[in-house]
Amino acid sequence: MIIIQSKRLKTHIMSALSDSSMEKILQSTSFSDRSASDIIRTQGLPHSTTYRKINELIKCGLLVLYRSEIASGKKIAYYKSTLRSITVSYQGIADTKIEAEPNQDALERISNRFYDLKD
Amino acid sequence: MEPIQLIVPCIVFAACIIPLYFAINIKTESQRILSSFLFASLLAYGIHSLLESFEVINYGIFAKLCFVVSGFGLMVAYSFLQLKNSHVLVGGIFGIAMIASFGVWMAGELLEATFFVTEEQQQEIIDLISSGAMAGFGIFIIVRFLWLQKFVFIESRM
Repeated sequence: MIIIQSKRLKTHIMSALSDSSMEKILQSTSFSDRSASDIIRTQGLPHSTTYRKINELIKCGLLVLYRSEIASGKKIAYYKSTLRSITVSYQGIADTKIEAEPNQDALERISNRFYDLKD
Repeated sequence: MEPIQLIVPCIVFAACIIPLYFAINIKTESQRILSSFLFASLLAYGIHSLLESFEVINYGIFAKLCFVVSGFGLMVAYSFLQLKNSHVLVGGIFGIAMIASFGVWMAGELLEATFFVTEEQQQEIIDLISSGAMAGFGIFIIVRFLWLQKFVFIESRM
């Protein structure tokens, strides 16, 4: 588990969890990579909302494009949540504490960004 | 021997640890290959620089070319991966920094090795420029890794 200290990241996490569509996307991608159409089908989300929310989650670093494959001439992207589980504890006067268990791909992402390779 | 001749290889050796760490811990094959190339090239430069400054071995053209080829191999591997990944030759700031620093070093070594530069003073200037470029790249690697590590969630562990 890691303690999230960045205020920006804390805000992103809390706003993602408070948005039901984003929460569903994170839930379905927390343990295994899923394509957008998989997410739409299993979570019953609207098409345009799903793609928009996926892009927002990628921008704030909570979701990554894990891999992509070409099936019957179409490129299919698979996404995975960067965090496996999140615990938010509100402690009154003290700062809200957020603990998270990252997916073990963090080093891969660091390396990807280090070499400027696409995620 | 001037202090810079010792400082630069030390920076480069410190920077070597990062690609080695990637090469050992990462599962993606392309990144492991790239990390291994970067590690080998930095190690080659560090050893070359140390041996040259301590004057342990009197380098011949062949040895210098070997080191230049290792740096060139890294650039080719990186460019190949970038083309495959994102259809561009240089993907970003890492590519620019790497090509600039290794390019300066390779050009310097080739100039020295091919006897275009005969005066000792000119050789020293070329050495200084090459060392400066490689030290800059070493620092860039360390700073970039530390920054990314902070940026990509690994903030504080329980």
